[in-house]
Amino acid sequence: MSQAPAFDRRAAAAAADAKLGEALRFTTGRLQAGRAAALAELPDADALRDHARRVRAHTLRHLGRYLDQFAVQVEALGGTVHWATTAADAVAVVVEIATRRAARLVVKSKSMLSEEIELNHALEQAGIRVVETDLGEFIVQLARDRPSHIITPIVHWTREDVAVLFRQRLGAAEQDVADIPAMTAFARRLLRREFLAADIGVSGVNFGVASTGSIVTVTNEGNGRLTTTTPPLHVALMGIERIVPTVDDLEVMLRLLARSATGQKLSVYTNIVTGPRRDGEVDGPRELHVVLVDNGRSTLLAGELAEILYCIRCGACLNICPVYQRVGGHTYDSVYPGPLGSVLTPGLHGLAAAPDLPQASTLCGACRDVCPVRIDIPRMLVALRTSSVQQGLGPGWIRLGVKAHAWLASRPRAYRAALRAVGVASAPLARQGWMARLPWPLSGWTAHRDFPAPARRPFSALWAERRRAR
Amino acid sequence: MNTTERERMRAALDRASAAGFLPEAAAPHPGRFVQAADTVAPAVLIERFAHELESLAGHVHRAPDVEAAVAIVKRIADDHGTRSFLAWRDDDLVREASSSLERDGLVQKPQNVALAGPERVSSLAEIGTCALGITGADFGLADTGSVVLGCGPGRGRLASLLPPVHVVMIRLERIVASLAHALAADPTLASRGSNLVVITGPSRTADIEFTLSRGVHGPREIHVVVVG
Ligand code: SF4
Repeated sequence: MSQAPAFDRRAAAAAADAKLGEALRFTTGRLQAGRAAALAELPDADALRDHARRVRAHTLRHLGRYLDQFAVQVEALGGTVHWATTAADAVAVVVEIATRRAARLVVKSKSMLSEEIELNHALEQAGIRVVETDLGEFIVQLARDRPSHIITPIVHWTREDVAVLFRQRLGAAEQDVADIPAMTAFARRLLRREFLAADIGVSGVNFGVASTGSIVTVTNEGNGRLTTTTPPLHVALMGIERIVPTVDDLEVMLRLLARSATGQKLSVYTNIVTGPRRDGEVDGPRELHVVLVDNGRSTLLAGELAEILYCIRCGACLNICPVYQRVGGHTYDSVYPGPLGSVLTPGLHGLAAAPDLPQASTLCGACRDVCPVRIDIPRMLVALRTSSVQQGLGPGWIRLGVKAHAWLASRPRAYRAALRAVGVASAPLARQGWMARLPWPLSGWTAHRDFPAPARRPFSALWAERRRAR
Repeated sequence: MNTTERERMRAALDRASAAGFLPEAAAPHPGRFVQAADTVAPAVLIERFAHELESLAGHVHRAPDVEAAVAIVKRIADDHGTRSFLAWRDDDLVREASSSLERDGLVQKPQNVALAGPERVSSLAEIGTCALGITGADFGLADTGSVVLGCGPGRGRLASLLPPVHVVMIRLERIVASLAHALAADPTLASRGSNLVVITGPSRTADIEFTLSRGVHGPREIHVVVVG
């Protein structure tokens, strides 16, 4: 994962982009309001979230057992399960399935996992045409762009941008791009042809149910249903943590997912696939392959970031995050942006691959408060910052600063002297307890906000005085 | 299944879930989520169902009996100038409507998609031209305005997916409070066929400028005809 240009440079550029700022404010604001209203009208929302969290925790504690149960069920129904340790393994499985059947066209419904393992590229290398069918992902693919939000991938696009793209790349006529419904209808016609002609449908998996071997995909457009219905072969890419033990557990997750994501009570299509087409049934793929992908998850599960695997990918933490709202998804340069991604990406690929992400947070805790399964993201961001200092990854001045502080803090006499010095030196700069301008390098802080003035007399001095007075 | 790969992954997982920091994982599975009991009268359920579905721009029609329901379906077909349709074969309500439409000269297309080869492609193309799909439903869900459709012999997935207009015929007593209630009433619901779909309103997207448009890949119109 490339980190150039660095996070702060990308962030500065994004924050200066007024059009992007407006789009982000509007969309994240609407999504947040929708979520709040949907949860408010849900009876027992808090108890439900506690329950869901316990289900996720229990499942991950016994993940191997539940995956086994799931795999046995899928195979009993005539499906095939593939276990893939790495991204390369997973890609190889899919390419092998496709080439063995001489597939020429693959339709895909939205799958972040497929972006994580960079599947499209590998299929195209093998001479297979790949078509994304979620409207946003279709546009991203056509423009060779990247999604910037896990629920609304093209929040950074305007309708004019889409119109130009459709005209230039697809030869759309003026009336095809007259307004948003026209563009949607245009894409529908085009993609419908691909659905009916496709050799393979590749889908992601929102949840896999261990007790039944069911695969659940949730979409509003219906592309998830088409992808898993019209082609003769369905490949489902599933991160190993997507398991829920029972159908009742699935129902609990569904009750929270759409409400937290968009404020809908349920997404339009909750599509549950249990094995390939059966004898006597009239449609559906006759072949089903489920690829269980680890790609760093078991390493993550073994450590202090394991809790991030409770995530059900609702996107609520992105919408509420003051950093995401200002800088947008591309700034994170990661398949998973926002607070979720700032833990997941370094967790999956190592801190060295994303050293900036744990810093991209104010630690305000808003993400933890909106998370339907109450994941303590700030705790893990702090843990990552600690490791980053320990591994010598952070910026040099932070490491130096921490060292200097450690030296000072373990020498009471020097510490008190330093405090007194700061108190005296800062006095001329302070106005009513605040300092508006500081010399370099602290001017970086005061360029944007005031800094609280140090107390004239340090706490330790006051404390000592009180003790003496008693 | 590749056994060695599976065993490698399983071993890594067992080590990992024992070692990792998983808050609240020590407790046993919390069981079913129990909610305050709600026995609700059918009249309240249908009202809630209609309110929810209509707020998503779905259409709800009430019919006192099968005859009236069939008349409503005919009117919807008329309104859309329908000449051919796709319908479930094993549902008694839908069968009544289908025969009536056929008597009026509309063509019912076969649901069956061939398993492979050029026949598969041509049967899909044939079905793809239908303007109307008619299905039954296992349940209606009052709290979300959803319909629950399990597939099976005679009950294809495509009738609720390919045509731009989808009509659902359902008896009043099949409307229950929520998905949890449906699953409690019918525990094998989710896995009895190869597909179960919970449909909540017409197909939609808000990908471009967060502006809603309907009928992206699935039907742009959904009508639920409630009998009884
Ligand atoms: S971390 Fe929580 S809020 Fe963020 S996407 Fe995952 S489930 Fe949603």
